[in-house]
Amino acid sequence: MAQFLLMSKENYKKFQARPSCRTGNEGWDGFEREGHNMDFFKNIGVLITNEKYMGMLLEGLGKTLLISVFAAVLGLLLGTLVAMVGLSEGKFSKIPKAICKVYVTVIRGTPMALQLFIMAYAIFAIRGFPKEITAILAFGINSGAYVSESIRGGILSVDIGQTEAGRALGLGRGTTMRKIVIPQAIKNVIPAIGNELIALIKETSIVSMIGMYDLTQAAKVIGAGNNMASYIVPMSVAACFYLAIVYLLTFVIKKIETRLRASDKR
Amino acid sequence: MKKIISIALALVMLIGCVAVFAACDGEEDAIIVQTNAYFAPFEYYDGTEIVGVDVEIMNRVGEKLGKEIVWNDGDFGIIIDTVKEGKLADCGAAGLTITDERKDKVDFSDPYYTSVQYVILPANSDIETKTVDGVTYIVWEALSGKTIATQTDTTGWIYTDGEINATADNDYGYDGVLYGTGTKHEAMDSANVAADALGITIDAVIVDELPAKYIVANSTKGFTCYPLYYSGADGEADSPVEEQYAIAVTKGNTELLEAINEVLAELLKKDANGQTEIEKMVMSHMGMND
Repeated sequence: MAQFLLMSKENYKKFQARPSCRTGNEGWDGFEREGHNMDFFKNIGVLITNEKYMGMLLEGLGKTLLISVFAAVLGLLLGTLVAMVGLSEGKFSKIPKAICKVYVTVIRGTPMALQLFIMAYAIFAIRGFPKEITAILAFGINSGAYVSESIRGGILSVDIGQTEAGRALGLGRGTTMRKIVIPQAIKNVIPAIGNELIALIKETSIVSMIGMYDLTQAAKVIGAGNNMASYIVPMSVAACFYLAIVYLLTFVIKKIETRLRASDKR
Repeated sequence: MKKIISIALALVMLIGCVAVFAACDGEEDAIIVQTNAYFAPFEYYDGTEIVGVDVEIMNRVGEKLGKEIVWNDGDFGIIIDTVKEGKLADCGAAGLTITDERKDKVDFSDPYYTSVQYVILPANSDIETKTVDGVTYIVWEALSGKTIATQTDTTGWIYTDGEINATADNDYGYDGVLYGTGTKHEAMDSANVAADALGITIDAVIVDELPAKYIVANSTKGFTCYPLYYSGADGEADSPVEEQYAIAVTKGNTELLEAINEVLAELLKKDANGQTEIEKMVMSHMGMND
């Protein structure tokens, strides 16, 4: 009971009268708190001109990009591998094929948040294991399942006549795949892969769940620092960052697509 | 194509290995503390750093043992279980209240702070307050039929859940004050998020004393807060919903537990003004020594 009175009336008055709250305080003085909806744009201006908060957001952005890029690379490699195994027809491919089928079914069928949680607190529950690696593996493995289905779909979309023609010309099964089917399949796969990459980038926002400091976490921290529950402003700025990355990615994918389709029209 | 793939693969693996070794190198001997850094003034982010009263306490423990302190941020709900297992963290510091259920899983240090549960109300709330001997408070009964928000798995959540759902006949085994009154309970990410909806979809937020006062003092929407009391039985006085904070340590890690208790004993000594070091830390993190 003694310490219940810690915050005595005098102390509490002093606390209420102080110029600004302490938590990450420096910048908050600039915020207009009265009716924060009305001053939304003004608050955005205050936030993006504040060095400290922009620094926090940029640090978060760096982590988001780090996870996204490595997870995307891992996902593409894994997805290609799984798709190839899934389409192979050899005598010895039965077991690998079954494994890949289970992998795709389980990963696509369970929530990403759950997979991340299991990765962080069961599989990689190792002292001092870097969370970045955990996140990259979790997202890479998740992405791989979706990518493999996209690639499989792309390869199957190439008319069977193409394979037959290749085989009739005396090319091996592998060569037919590499030189005839895949070059045509890539064009069909690119939009689906682009879709998956976009989803992946945005999905990394759940890493704050395992306490990582990504873009979303940075926005949350800025909001919480204010302690006025004014998450809307930093979250909106973070959303603009996500939008910018996705827009840039869409642009690049569009360029690749156009380039690949250049030979279609003669 | 093959070349590109193999180079990319090699790069991923290399970076993975380097990161693993780099991480294992320094933290082998460190004390890892599990927390949830949204509980000012005990722990909160300042920029990208976690700071607060618990951080200051643990830093002193680190100095005493000559070990580095590594903070691991995550959900509040997993702290106790992570510490219980002891694989990912040695101790948990997050304004943790001592409860019997938690005691079964982990060892607690000596308590270093006594808190009471507070109710935050929006402006023009119709929830009735009671004043006895100059102390204004709210009894559980006053909240019946309202929508109450708490942070998931915090003691506020545990109390509210119990009062709403418990009867002598179910697993809880006691009679909840609000059982069958149609009171709604909403679990939120944090008290700050709950405060955002206060007065809109939520009638009251139950949270520990200091965060409650923090939110109210920084509110421009005319929030108020009062301590939460249990109504006394016939003739007895009403009593506050009181609790004590302590640091959770993996069972059997007596070296760390003793070090923490020694540090806490030093910090809880009263100085000439009758103030303890912990109180000063709280004040300083509440922004009152500026």
